[in-house]
Amino acid sequence: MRARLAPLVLAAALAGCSDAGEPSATRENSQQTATSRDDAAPGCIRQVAQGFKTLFYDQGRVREAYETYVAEGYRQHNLMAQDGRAAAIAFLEPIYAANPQHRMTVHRMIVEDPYIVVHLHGQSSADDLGAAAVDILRVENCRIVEHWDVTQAVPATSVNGNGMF
Amino acid sequence: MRRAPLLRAAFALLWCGAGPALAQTPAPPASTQAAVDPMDTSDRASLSDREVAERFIELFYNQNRLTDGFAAWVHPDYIQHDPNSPTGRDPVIALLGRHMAANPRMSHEVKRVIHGEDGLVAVHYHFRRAPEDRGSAVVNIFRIEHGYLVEHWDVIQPIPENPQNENTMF
Repeated sequence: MRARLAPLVLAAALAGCSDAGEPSATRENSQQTATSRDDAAPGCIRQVAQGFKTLFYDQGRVREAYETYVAEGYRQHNLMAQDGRAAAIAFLEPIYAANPQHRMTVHRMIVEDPYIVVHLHGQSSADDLGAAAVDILRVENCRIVEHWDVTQAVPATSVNGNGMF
Repeated sequence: MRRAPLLRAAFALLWCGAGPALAQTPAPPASTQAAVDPMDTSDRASLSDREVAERFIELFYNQNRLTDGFAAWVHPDYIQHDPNSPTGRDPVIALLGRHMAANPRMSHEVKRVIHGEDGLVAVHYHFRRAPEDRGSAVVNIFRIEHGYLVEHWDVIQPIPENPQNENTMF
């Protein structure tokens, strides 16, 4: 149980990396002139948040999520990992391959440009207590460019009975 | 063992916050800022969720007035999701009072605050019981309703010793 938790937590952590805004087709549709970054930002951050949530957290499509939404040079504040999109994909894909029952449940998101906050529950399987995590993603030019996270194992018991989510 | 719940509760409650928010949001003119007493709840009903959060953050994280922050801005029926802390405002105030007495040198360095919809605010901060501690990274999320903090979630992680990058957790 313990052993499996770490990769999951890490995965959750890395999930929040950096880069990439909405798919180009969407961007073209929603913004006739994507010349002004300031004008584009308020619109695209919500698309980035929703798109990355769907691909990465909900569906676990690591490479597709990262290549679509994360910048190549994203900055990593998870101290177990290294900078860059390629490093994140290389790190995450084997974890996902080794943990086919792995799941991440997003309980709430807080979006205020340039930040996306994701509060999630990572589990290696449905009956795993798992870990609570918050990923904070910074978006620049419609791509996730920076990532911070905090993770904590979910205990078997709670003082208040309200659950961690 | 006896101290662990207290510490956790402390982390949990320590919704610090305010670094980037302060850095990114233009600060109010000094005169205006100075005029606001963060303990002043007389205009509670007319305050935005953001303003409520800012006053609480000033008291709790920046001034280390944990019990004052709770007494002023937390609803009596406050819903607690930190698994190691009690639910309800008054039991938490009692806990925080003991925490403050036991850790007079603690600090909550707010790195960023993110205000969202539905009264949700996230505070990302560095908690240390003493200046020499490595400390923990914490995110507090709270929900504000009708001028009160009414619900709280948190995630707490001790800062690891051997980082794989030089970026820090913040």
